[in-house]
This record gives sequence, C-alpha cells and structure tokens, in this order.
Amino acid sequence: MPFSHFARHPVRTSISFLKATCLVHLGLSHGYNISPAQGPSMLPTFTVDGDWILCDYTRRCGRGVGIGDLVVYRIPVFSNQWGVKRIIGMPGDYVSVGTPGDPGEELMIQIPQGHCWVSGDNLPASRDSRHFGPLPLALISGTTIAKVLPWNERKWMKNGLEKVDQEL
Amino acid sequence: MGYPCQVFHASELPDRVQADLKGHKRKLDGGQRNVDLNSCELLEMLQYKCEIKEPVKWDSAVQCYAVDRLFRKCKDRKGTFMVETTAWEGKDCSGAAQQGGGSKTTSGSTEQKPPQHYHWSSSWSSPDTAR
Repeated sequence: MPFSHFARHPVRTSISFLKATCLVHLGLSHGYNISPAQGPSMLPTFTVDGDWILCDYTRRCGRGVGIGDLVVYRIPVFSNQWGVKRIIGMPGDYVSVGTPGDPGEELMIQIPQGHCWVSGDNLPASRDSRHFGPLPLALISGTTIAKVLPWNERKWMKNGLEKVDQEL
Repeated sequence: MGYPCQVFHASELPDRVQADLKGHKRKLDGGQRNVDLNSCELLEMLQYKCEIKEPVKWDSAVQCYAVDRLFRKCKDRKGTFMVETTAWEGKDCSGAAQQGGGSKTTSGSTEQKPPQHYHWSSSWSSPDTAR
C-alpha cells in the first residue's frame, strides 16, 4: 500500500515533499507561469478582463528581449504590482517620448544604458514609459509568449515589429 | 523620479544618431563616414487607439484605430541600433538639412541654448503633468 509506505517513513516523505515544493516554486518563478491579465492598456492584444497569459520568466532582467516583445515588469512606482507592455526601444536606441500622432511626438531621447522604453498597445489608456520614463531592465521579470485563456482565443504572441517592403 | 534624459527634436535625428551612448562618434563598416538614416532598413509597428463603446457593459464593443510607428534599423561596427522615425519620416529632409545648416551658421546661439531634460512624473494618477 503506497500510503502505509509513506506513513512508515515520515521524515523521508516530508523531505521529498519539501523538495518537490521547492522544485515547483522554482519552475513557476524562474521558468513558466500562467497568470491573469486585466486592464485596457493592451487592447486589442488582450481584452480588458478575463485573459490568462503564459509568461516566460527565463527572460528576467531583460535577458534576450528585443523591440516588439511583450514584457512583464514590476511597475516602478508600485513595487508590488506588475504590468505587461510592449518594448519600443532598447539601450542606445532613439525613441519618441510622446504619443505617435499627438503633439509632442517629435520630442526624442536616446535610451540610457540598462534601460528600455515600454508602451501599451492601446496608447490613450496606457500608463507606461511616457509617464515614468525609461524602464530599468532589472525590473523586467519575463516575457509574455502566449494567450492561453479564453481557450478559443488562444494564440502565440507575435513580435510587433515588421519589415516595410516599400520605401515611403 | 525616472532617469533624466536629454530631449531633442526629431529633426536633429540625422545628427544625433552619429554618436553612440558614450557620446563617441560611431564607426562604420565599408568606409562610410556617417550614418545615413534614409539608407537604414525601415520597419513598422502597429499600435492602437481604442474606444470602449459602453464602458458600463462588461461585453461592450471595442473599436480600435491603428497607429503606425516607424523605425529605422541602422548598423555600426558594434552592431545594430534602432531609431524611431515616426515623427521624422516623410518630412522634407532637405528642409531639415537646411535647418541644420542654418543652425550651424548661427552656431553661437545654439551653443548657448542649454540642453533640455525631460522630467518624468512620480504621480500615477496625473500622468498629464509629466512634462
């Protein structure tokens, strides 16, 4: 009987259980994790509420991320809250500090070392680098690789950056 | 709050991209002396301005208008870097060049102008006061 086997070895069972718990915790915090996302800032990529996203936490601290990727980051003004935004620029790149199409879009900066520029897909409803400035790469905890729920809307996230065939 | 950054106008981009993060002149392959933004690869990213038609309803329709962001992917000897050119692209480049030339002739006045820095907001609730 398996249960009696565990009951006969309480210490060994407890250690094994502890090891398994640590392993699962490590996998969820440093590997892959599914979590709910809400808010209007990433419309139409994510809906306002009810979406669950698959995140890759091996990309923490901005490791291997590039322009167009969706990142999960710790919001600089709220250390215990996380946001999901799209990367617009990496260290050394040049970005507009304004909103495309609105007054102020012609103001540019060069992103400092160790920082990136993030912006929500739904520009009017997003609080992002346009408000808190360049985001330290160290605040990035991972990337969003897929939308999992609702199941009939499941899809892999694609990088938002595309080549333009025809010159303007 | 936020990292202080020097802001500049999009028309200064062709000059600004010549220097790297440390302020050193970028070195290019193939004997080129300057980075030419027009010859860099053009890329685009679509973002949106969305309206929730009836915010009180949980299943309200959402209407989104696409906003096109343009980028140039340029190369120097150390690798590639991206330049957002949404506000620069399609503008009269010769006019910008003339403007650049003009500022050179009146270099005294441009040198006197102190560099402007952007101040980010530390307030989450009033993002409009960022400037």
